Amino acid sequence: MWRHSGTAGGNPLGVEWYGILLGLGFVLSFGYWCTNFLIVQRAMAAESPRAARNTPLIGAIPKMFIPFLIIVPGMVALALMNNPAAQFTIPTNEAGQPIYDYTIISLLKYYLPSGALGLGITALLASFMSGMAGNISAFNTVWTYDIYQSYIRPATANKEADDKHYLKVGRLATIFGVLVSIAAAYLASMFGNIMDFLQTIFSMINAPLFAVIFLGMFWKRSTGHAAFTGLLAGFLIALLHHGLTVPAGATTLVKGGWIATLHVYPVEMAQNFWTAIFAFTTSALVTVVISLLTRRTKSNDELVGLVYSLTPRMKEDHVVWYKRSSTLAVVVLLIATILTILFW
Amino acid sequence: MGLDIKLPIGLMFTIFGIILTVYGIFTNSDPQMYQKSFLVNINLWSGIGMLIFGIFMLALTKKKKSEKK
Repeated sequence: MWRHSGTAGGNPLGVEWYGILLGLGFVLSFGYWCTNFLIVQRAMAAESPRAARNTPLIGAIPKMFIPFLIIVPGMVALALMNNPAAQFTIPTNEAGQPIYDYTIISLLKYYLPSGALGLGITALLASFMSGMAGNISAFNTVWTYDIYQSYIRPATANKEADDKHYLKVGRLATIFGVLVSIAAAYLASMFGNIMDFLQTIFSMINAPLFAVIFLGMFWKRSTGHAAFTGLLAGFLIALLHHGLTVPAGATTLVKGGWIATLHVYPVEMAQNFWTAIFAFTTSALVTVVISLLTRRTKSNDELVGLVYSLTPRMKEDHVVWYKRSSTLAVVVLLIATILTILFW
Repeated sequence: MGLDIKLPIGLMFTIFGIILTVYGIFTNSDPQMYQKSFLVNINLWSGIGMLIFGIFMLALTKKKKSEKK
C-alpha cells in the first residue's frame, strides 16, 4: 500500500505519500468520522457519554475489514473468469467488456442454491435499505430541525400546531431526499466506481465542514460569521479546483475540467485528495482571518460543552480498565497498525 | 432505555436459521440442487451457523435481564 507511494506515478492511486496522508488520512477521514451526520446522530442517541465515545471506535472495527469484503470477492471473480473450467462469466456490455457492477450478483447466482441465495439477496437489499434509511433520516432531521426550524419558520407559542407542521415538513423532506438519492444514483453511474463518486462529494462538502467544526471545537475565538464564510469559501475553492483539473481519460464533465484544464491528475482519487486539501486549507484560513476581524459574540460561559478547552474532561477512573473507551481506542489503533504493516 | 438490540438480532438470526436448517434437511437427498455449491449442503450449514449465533444473542439478552432483576 505505502511501498509505492514515493512518487505519484509509482502507485495506482496516483498520489504521493503526503497527498494520501493529508488528503485521505487527515481531511477526508476526519471529515467522515466527525462531520458525517449518519455517524454523529448515532453517537448523539447513545445512552451515556461513554457509549457515545465508543460509537466511532466500534464503527471503526467493521470498517477496517470492508476492504476484504470488497476486494476478496472481486479477486475471486477475476480468477474464476480466467479459468474456463469454472464456467463462471459475468454479463458483458455491447463492447464485450464485463460489467463489474454485476460481480457480486453473478457470484451469488452461480454458487448458491435456492435457500442460501435468498438469504444473500435479502442481506444485500437490507444493507442498501439501511444505508439509505440512515442517510435520509439524517437529511430530514438536519433540514427540519437545524435549518427549517432555526432559520425559516421558528417555533411559535402553539406547540401542538408546531409539531404537526414540522412533522409534515419532515415527511416532505423524506420524499425529497428519496428523489435526490435516485438522481444521485444516476450521477454515480457516470463514475467508474462508487468510491470515486463518494470521495468527490466528500472532498467538496466534508472537507470545508471539517475545517470549520475543527476550529469551532478547539478555538474559542472563532465566530459564527467566520465559520459560514469559511464554509462557503472552502466549497467554492473545491468547486473551482474540480472545474480546473481533470483526471486522465475523463469522458464526462462530471469528473471535472468544466471551466478549463490547468492540471491533469493520473486518476480520480488523486484529484479528490487534492480537492479536499485545497478546500480544507482555504476554509480554515478564511475562518481564522474572518474570526480575528469580527467581534466575539459568545462569552466563555456560553461555550462550555462546545469548545474543548472550556469543557470539563470526562473521567473514566470508576470504570474497569477493559471497559474504558481508551482501551478500545488502543485496540482499534493496534489492529489498524497491524493491518497497515501487513499490507505495506 | 427500551429495546436491547441483541433481542431483534437474536430473533432474526434464530428464525432465519430455523428456516434454512429445515430447508437444508429436506433438500439434503437432492444432489442436483447442491451441484452449484460443489455438493456442500450450504443451506444446512449456514442455517446451523445462524441458529447458533441467534441463540447465543438471545441468551445474552436473557442474561442481561436476569442480572437487572
